[in-house]
Amino acid sequence: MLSGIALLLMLPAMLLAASCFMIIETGGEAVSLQATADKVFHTGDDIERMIENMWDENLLANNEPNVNGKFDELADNYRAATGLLVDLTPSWMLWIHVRNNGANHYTGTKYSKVEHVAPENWRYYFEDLDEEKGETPDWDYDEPILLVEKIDNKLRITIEDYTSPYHSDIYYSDQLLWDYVGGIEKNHVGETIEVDGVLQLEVSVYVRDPRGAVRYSSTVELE
Amino acid sequence: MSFRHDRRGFIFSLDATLAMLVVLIVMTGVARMAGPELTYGQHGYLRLERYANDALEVMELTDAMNIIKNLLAQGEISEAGNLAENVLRKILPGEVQFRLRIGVENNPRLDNVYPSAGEHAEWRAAFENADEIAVAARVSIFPPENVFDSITLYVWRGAMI
Repeated sequence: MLSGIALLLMLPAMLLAASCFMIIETGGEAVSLQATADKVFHTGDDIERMIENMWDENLLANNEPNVNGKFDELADNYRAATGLLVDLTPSWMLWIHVRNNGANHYTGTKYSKVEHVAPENWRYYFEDLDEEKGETPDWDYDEPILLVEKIDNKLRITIEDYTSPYHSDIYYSDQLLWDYVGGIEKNHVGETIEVDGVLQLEVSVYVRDPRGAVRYSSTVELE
Repeated sequence: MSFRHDRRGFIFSLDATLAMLVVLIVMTGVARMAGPELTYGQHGYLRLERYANDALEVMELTDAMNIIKNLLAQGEISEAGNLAENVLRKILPGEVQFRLRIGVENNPRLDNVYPSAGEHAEWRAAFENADEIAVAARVSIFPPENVFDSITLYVWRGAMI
């Protein structure tokens, strides 16, 4: 039998051993977390690059409706390739509020198309009739047609046409540019406004691992 | 002889010697557990994963990936494979081997890009028998139809074939 004093000597030894085990375990977890963090960071960074590529290659301004669907497709591809959870939320600056049916029609949805017509010029097309309100849209996308020109640090926006008896308000983010545009009298058609800033689309990127231990969040600004 | 009359001091007692022995055994065991194998297990994989991620990043930054994508779009599969092989061989250290796949597993645009041309069966066996494999994945837009597809790079430590 060991004496009481000898047993007391063993206690610090046990304590030391337990501490070492804890250090090793914590080190292992830290490395595993670092590997996950690297993966999340690389994925987030790559998504940003991809979104900028999509803008530069006109995949978002190719005169097709519902381009926001491409962000869902991109997020699905990243989810499948990396096993991470990816959310991409686009937020276009220009949108319309249709007075006659109360609908808000945003760029990037089925009610809008964007066309890159020249290096610093874009044309935005909107449809004012709304399926969800029981109407039958004609999908001619000319209510209104807006020409957007990037000039230095400003965007010059011109209403080129509005071919509908309906009236709409035109917004840049939360800034009302024109109200009661269109109608049979083609109210405000031909007018131009300049807004401060050249931002056209913001995409929020959110990447996380399924355990929720590592997260990456950023906003890509496209102009 | 009774311990009560022993005047040699505690450090020379049998109890203390046994206790010190137990302490030393425990400490040696712990020290062995935290040896180089464990350190490699923790950091070696991390380094391997970074090699893979950095290699794909370099391919993007040097425009090599764009050239490979364009070659694939033109149907020049073999040239695309050779270029990918050469670029990755230059980027990755000699003891790190790789397999690159572009596209999904069951219908890839390019697959079986290994560190040397030919000998696919040997490389495939080396890949399947590797102790640990790190993976880096990216998504890219592929011409001419402009669809998304994945790029997957597997790396492992092993000898050149």
